[in-house]
Amino acid sequence: MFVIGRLLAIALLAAPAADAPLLTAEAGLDGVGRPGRWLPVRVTIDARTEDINGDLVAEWGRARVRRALILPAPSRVEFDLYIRTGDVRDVVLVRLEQGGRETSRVTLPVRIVGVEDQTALTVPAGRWPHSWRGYDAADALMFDTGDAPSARSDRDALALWRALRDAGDADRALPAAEPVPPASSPASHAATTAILYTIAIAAVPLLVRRGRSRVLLLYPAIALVVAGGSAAAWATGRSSAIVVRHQSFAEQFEGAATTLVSMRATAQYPADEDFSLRADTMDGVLDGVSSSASGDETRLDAEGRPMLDHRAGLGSTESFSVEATSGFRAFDVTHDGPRTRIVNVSTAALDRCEFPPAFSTAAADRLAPGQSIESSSVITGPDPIVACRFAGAPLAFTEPHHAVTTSGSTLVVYHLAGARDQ
Amino acid sequence: MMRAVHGIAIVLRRELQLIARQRAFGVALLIHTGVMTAFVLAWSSGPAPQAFPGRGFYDSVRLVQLAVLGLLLPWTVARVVAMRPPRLMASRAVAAALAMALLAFAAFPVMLLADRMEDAGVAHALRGELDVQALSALAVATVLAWRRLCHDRLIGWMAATISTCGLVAAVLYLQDYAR
Repeated sequence: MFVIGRLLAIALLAAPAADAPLLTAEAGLDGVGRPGRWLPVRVTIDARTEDINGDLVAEWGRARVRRALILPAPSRVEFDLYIRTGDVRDVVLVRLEQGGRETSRVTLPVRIVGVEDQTALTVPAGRWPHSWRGYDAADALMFDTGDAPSARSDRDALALWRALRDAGDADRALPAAEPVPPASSPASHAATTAILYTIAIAAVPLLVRRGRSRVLLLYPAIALVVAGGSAAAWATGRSSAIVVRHQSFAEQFEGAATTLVSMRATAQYPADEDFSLRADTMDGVLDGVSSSASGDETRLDAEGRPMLDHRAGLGSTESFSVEATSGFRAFDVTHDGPRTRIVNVSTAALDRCEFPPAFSTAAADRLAPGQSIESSSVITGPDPIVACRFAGAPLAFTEPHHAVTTSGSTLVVYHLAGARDQ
Repeated sequence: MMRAVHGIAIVLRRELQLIARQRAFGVALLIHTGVMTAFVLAWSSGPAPQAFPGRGFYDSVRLVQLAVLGLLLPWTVARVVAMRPPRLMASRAVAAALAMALLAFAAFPVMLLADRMEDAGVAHALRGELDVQALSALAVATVLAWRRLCHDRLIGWMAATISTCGLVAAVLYLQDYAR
């Protein structure tokens, strides 16, 4: 409580002007940050007299998270940002930018704890993190109050963190990933237009009659075809879809309602425009691999969805990765005495399935939607998993001006409660 | 004055008709557009477009276009423009310049696609087109000049090609040097 009180006091000490939005923030669960672990930053913004249209930026070391902010006055909003870096500092800087200039800032102290140190952290009453990442700095939790989180999303976040901690980050056994499907070349986006134009321009001299009276039509005909070809070249791809090719992991954990998704992907852009690709989740991060301009900056839109801003060329490709939680579920698992029943609750056929030894060796390697399979004995082992693959993505993407199509496969893994939990 | 203008227009029209009837003009049109299409598609058929060291994709393709036109335009002018009678040379030069400008402009849609692959902006492609148009005027001027100086058609064409390419190379070198 003392730490939280101190953090709030320091944040409030940066007294803003009377009409400026009031920015307050708290960093870290129990004020603690660890290298390589997520640090929650809970931000409250009070637009008292003027609307806010800008960005909220949190910086910790070299890492930066930027969230778009649109807030009409008078109103107040509270949300969490999550930031992670190996280059930790003992302060987090949170600032509000409007019209390209900083209008408010708070500096929040963070107590740094080593990676190897065992850390039990206290969750203040009513201050539950909204994402499992809010608990990431902790090895164990203590609670100011005995109540469970009232909001379902908060309960899911805590359950997922517990499941992740139980499964163990380092020794979680996952089958090998497949490579991301290769992107098509930029030429494939331009080929139809270029080849049709070449045929058209070659046909003009042949079609224009070589008679004395009409031969002069050759020049306006060429000019017309060039003008039409230029218009077609300009329009090529402008209404086409962005293609996201991915290779995804979707991990379900027994006792957790949400699915942990990690994705390696490429986005291929159909035109030379500004694109803003968004992952359809409110809890995640989308990192561009090849775009170095923004450094370690990750971005969120005004609703909190992770996004990737990119100025693209026609047919150009950008690599990115996604870490997120999703409501997608492939498996539903129930236990009946020593038997465990697994149902494919997704709409996709699950292929190349692998089951623990407790399932029959003749178990089908394919589960159709709605199909189930049952173990013949108790499941044992340190981290028993069921793994299947399907053609599809556990997460959708959107872009304000273009459709987005996805192609690739997902390895979906269910971590069963094994011997460790039993 | 009006009669003079009318007379020039008639001669110009006739010269443009003569050029349009030449098969060489259509062949050059196809070679220019086809070669540029092939280059743009071939160089962008990998994961990312290829380019000469220190240059963007569009600028690299434009260098190729200047080289192609440096070889193609003198040949086309030599094939499609008659040299006699000498009193009509001015009208022939204007007609040839117009026809060659259109020939040089024919690959613009393909160059625009290359420009968009690099995301260099339409203004960049239009500036590049100015270089191409300057080359077409230069090619007409050098061919006609060499044909006046040298009566052998083959040698005149070769000399015009060498001097056009040499001038283009010199201008590009100076542009790079100034940069």
